[in-house]
Order: sequence, then structure tokens, then C-alpha cells
Amino acid sequence: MKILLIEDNPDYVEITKRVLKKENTDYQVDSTEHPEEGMNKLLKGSYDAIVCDYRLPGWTAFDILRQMRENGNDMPLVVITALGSEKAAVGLMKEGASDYVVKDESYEYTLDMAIKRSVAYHREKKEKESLEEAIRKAYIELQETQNQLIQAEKLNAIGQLASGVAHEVRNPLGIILQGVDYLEAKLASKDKDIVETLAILKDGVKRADNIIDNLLNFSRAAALDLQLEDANSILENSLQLVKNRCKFENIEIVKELMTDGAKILVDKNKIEQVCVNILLNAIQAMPEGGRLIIRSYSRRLERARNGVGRRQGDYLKIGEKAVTFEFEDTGVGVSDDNINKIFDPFFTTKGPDGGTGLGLSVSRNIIHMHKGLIYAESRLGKGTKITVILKMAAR
Amino acid sequence: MIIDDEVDFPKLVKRNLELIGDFTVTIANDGKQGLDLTRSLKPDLVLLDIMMPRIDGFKILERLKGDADTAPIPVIVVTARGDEASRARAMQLQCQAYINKPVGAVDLKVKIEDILQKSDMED
Repeated sequence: MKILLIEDNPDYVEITKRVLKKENTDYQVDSTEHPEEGMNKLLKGSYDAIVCDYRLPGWTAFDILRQMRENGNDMPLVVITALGSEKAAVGLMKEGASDYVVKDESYEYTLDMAIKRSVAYHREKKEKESLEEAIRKAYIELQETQNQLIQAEKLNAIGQLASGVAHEVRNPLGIILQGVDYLEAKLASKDKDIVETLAILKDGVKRADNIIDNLLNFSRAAALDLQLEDANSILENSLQLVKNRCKFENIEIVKELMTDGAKILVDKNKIEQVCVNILLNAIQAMPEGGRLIIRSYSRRLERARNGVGRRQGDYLKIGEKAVTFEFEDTGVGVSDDNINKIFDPFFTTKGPDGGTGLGLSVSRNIIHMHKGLIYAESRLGKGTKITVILKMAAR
Repeated sequence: MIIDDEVDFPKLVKRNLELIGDFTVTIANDGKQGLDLTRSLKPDLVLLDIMMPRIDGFKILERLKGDADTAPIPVIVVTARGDEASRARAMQLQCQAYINKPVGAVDLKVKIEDILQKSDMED
């Protein structure tokens, strides 16, 4: 057992060393007379316990304790003192000392007992903490798995429903579209209202068909056409599709793209679909115009977060290189209550005419199919940032 | 020739094709009638639905392509079944094109003309 002894009285250094040697040959005692040196030793070395005199030149045991806690050191500390003050003992214990031993005739016996008891208590405490930490981690993991299962179950149910509904709905949609086309050709009308009504009907058919397409995307999860693609090109292609709309809506596009030519192994069409979905949401969030910042960068993942870690279920591993896309708008933003729901199927804040509530849930599904991550941050009235992280392909 | 168990869809497709294109359209509302009419009338092209009671579109396609008399007639599958497996199966059974409902009249007309042109070139 390695002990650091901080004691300014050379006689007591010797006595303490002798006492500990006598009691237990396993004790290795490292000693210093100076508290500052003691603190340095604590920073550098590893000890099982500290034995410290109550009064030291310019210091007391309280100062040692405080300094230790500031340094994040919770090692057991046994205070030895010539004063048998109960008040000082209570004060020290309150401050976090493990024990308090008076240098009297029973010193030899009580010191050894105090050290052993303190070290044993400290070990038990550490074991308990590590068990609690393991339980906490297991609980979080269980919760995440449960969430993933619920999500998977939801998607599966939607997929099954979609396949069934698709056929039943597309037949009448086919009839409506043929009927509208017939009326359009037959009437060849110049009446503005008739022309507009037929156009609205056609648009309605297209929208209904798009909803079915989006729903079916859930059940086509396995079909990815993976190719090595330039990450920036995907962003540029997607931007191209919304550029005119941005101009029309008075939205300034700011591009901050990486220059290292990072590549990703993805289904280009599907990732472009995700980017366009996000871009359209951003545009819709800025009815008065604003700024849309598109960022891309590559980096090595260093921090564990939801979906990034070393567990089996983590999509991305720590140490892996990844490409990040960020889409930041200065739009209306999403409230804290709603931000966690925006990836849920059929959730929309755009009102009945604004959207189906499937764009972002389909996007998340696509990103998860690629073993990537997508998440949103938002401040009401300030704007929203959507981040997509995909594994970078080896060069 | 349109083979589709739906009543309204083929009726409107017939009206559209006869209005905007140079076609004469016959409708069969079930698989057996479709097979019989195709064999007797030998149309230039067949629009074929998949989901039909008794004899479905796949069986009809198999029989048409398996019969030397009807094999050369191009078949376009027009169906509400958008899944990849159905498309692959229909293509394997040698249909000339696979279109998902809903399809607009002009798109359908263009596709028919395209297939007929290719079919003429092969002849």
C-alpha cells in the first residue's frame, strides 16, 4: 500500500514510518515536510492514501483537502494531530477527511486501523460508483435500444400499411388523372377558372402520389445503390435544384465547403433527396427571406455522443473519419417542445397546406440506412441547423 | 387492347388515346376475355394490368409471350403495384415496358408510340 506522508516534524516522520513498518510490511511510505511538495507529489504519483499533519508551515489539513478536491483528487486522507480537538475533527470529517488520529499513546494502533479502514472504504466507494456508472450506461443503452425498436416498429408498420394502401389509392388516382387529362383535351377551354381547376386537380393527384412514394420509401429500406461519390458534388447538385427558388424567396446562399475532396460511399440519389428535403424545409422556414448557410467538412470523430461510440449499435465509431453536412437557416425556428418530434412520421409545423410531415422522417430513414446520423438544433425565432454525418470513404 | 379489371380506368384511357392519338382501343375487363380477344384481334399493342382476379397480369403475360401467335405483340404493364419485385418479374416475362399508375394521358401516349416504333423497327 503506497502512502504519502506530509509531516513537518522529523521525529514524527520517523515514528510514523516505524509504526507503519511494524504494522504492515506492505506499506511503502513516501514523505515530505513541505505541503507544496506534497501537492506536487500527489499530482505526479499514485498513492492509496495520504497521512497528513493537521498543522503544517503556512498550511493546515483543511488547505490540503481543499486543494486536493480542486484538483479532482478524492484519495482518502487521514489527519494526524497532537491536538485532540473534537471540533477540529468534526470540521475535517465534514470537509471530506477520511479519519482523524491523535498522536497519543495509542497512535501506533489507531493510525494503522484508520488507514486500513479509510482505504477499504474508499475502494468500496469507488466500486459502488463504477457499478452505478455501469448501471447508468446500461440503462441509457437500453433506453436507446428501446427507442430504436419503437422507431423500427413504427417504420415497419408504416411500410406494410404503405404497400397495401399504395395499390388501393393509386388505382383511383390513375382514374382521376386520366379523367382530368381527358377533360383538358376535350374542353380545350380558354376559361381561366376551368384551366386553373384542372391544374389544381392534377397537382392534387401528384401530391397524393408523392405521399405514397414517400411512404413506400420506408419499406424499400434495403435497396441502396452505393457508389463512391464526391461529398461536395452531392451538395452542389442539391443546391442547383433549389437555387432559383432561393433567389425568388430572397434567400442568400452562403457556401462554406471543404476543399479536401472527401468522398463518401452512398446512394447519391437518396442522399440528394435528403439534402433537397432539408433545403426546402429551410426555404419554407424563411418566408421573409434570410440566409442559408451550407457547410461541409471532414474530421475524425473524437467524442462519444448518441450514435457515435464504441458500442455495437453505434452507427459511427470513435476514431473514424466522417463527413459532416450542415444546413443552417435564419428562419422561424422550432420550439424546444417540437424539436425532438421533427423526425417523427407525419409531424409537421407547416400547417395543413405546408407539408406531409414525411420529408424529415424519410430523410432520417435514408441517413440511418447509410449508418449515418442526422440531428437538429433550433431556436425559436432565430433559425434551425440540421447536421448530417456520414462515414468518410477510404481514399 | 387494354386488359384491366377496373371499369373506369380503361374507359378513360380509351377516350384519351382515341382523342389525342391515332388509336382504336378495345377493352377487356378480365384476364380470360383479354387473352381471347388478344388472340382473335391481334392488336398492335396490349396495356396490361397486374392485379386481377382469377388470371392475373403475370399469367396473361406468360401465356401471350409463350404463344408464337401473340409473342410479337408488345405489352406495356400499367399497374398500381410499384414494387421492384413486380417490375422485375414483369420484365423477366418479357413485357416491353412497366408503368406505374397514376399515369397521365400524354405520357402514356408517348410511351405507346415509342414502343410501337421500336417494334416496327424490329420487324
